[in-house]
Amino acid sequence: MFGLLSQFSLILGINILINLWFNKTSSVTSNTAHIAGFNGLSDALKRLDFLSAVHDRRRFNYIVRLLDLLVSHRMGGLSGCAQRVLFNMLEEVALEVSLSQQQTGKLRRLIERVRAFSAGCCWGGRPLGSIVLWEKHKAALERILQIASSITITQPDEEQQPQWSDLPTECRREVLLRLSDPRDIEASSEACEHLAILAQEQRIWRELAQYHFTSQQITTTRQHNPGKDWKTIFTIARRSFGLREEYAEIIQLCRNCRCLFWRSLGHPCIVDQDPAFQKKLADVDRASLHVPIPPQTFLKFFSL
Amino acid sequence: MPNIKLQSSDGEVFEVDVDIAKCSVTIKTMLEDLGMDEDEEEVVPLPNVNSAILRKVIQWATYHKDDPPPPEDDENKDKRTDDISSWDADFLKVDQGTLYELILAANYLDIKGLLEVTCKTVANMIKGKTPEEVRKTFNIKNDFSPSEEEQVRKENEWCEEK
Repeated sequence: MFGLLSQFSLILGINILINLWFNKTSSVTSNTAHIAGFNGLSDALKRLDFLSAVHDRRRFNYIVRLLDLLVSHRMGGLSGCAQRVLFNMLEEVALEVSLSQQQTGKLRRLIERVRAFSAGCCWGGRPLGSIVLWEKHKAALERILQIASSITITQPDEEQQPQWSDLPTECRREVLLRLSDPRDIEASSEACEHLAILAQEQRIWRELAQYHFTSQQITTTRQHNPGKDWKTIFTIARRSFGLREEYAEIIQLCRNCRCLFWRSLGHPCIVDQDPAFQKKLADVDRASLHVPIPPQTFLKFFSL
Repeated sequence: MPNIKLQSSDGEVFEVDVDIAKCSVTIKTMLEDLGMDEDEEEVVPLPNVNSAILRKVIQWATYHKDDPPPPEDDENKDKRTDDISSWDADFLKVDQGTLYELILAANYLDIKGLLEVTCKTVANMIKGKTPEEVRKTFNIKNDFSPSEEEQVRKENEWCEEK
């Protein structure tokens, strides 16, 4: 994998339709917070337009997961500049959540993590690093808290027909079957009796298991735990194999020009401009040339 | 191209391309079972769908008429993403009542793609919320007795333990 990255370039800013070419021959140096000749994470976040991508429902989850990883474990290793970009992104996330009234839990978690980090960053009674920068971070966090605390879920108009509770069980079940995070099914089950009964159905947990695990993994788990219900099977399999990570939209790496790009936006590939190259790749499956980069891997590119 | 006439519950008649109408398995089976000739002037009554919703359903089906057929049921690997196309997302920027009516219509007419995207939209309203927030979102009452509530929470805690 890392061999691929020894030459690393980044083509971005597709939204603004200016293709900022970034072509630097470099090698990934281990454990330094930069890729040689490349200004590190903050630059990448800017060029991949993460800030406005927060408002795209399809990219929101990828970005929030990336932020979560950053603020949970890697905040201290970031440059002041990257930290500033991070706070800007957090503020955008807060605005998006308050607008959509969705994913409030993810915002709460992010805020909690950032607070824990800033509380742990004092030494001898004052924060480490530039005081000016910290003042700015504190102000940003203040604003984020302000936005978060003013989020109220608008209840649907009671006069309006039909209401959620008017839906037949089969339709409500269909909705629960679209949830991929077991915590969401559990939160629903704690909301009311009807949902609690639905969430006990074997089908809900069987299909959730089939979504997250391969049939091989499920067979093994069932063999080792004969006679167990599907919720138990799911829980055991989850401990052994972890949950599947899936994003509607994901960053990809092109193996030809070694650039990172959003899958749906594409990128100007060298293959398309070079007939000789195209000939060479005639028998190659084009899809295999683009490698999906989950958030964890994305951070590894920046030695984070 | 042959057309078919669909009549909503409130009596409005919509003329639709047969191929578009057939994205509804209910209508498709009806046509096949009744052996309706395509040039017949017969009207198909849809007593469970009002004209406002039928209009939206036809709009959705017309836009998606060239979509590849949905995969069979056993292939449920990718039915949980928040992967809603931007056209569908805009189409579904409606109040909750309309959204539920669309779910009911998609369920009754048996239109898999529409049921998929409407249920995903409602599922997104649950994601990442606390039980109290879920109640507020859907206007539902906490009808547990304290001991029941405690029991549900305990069961869930067991699952979340690492």
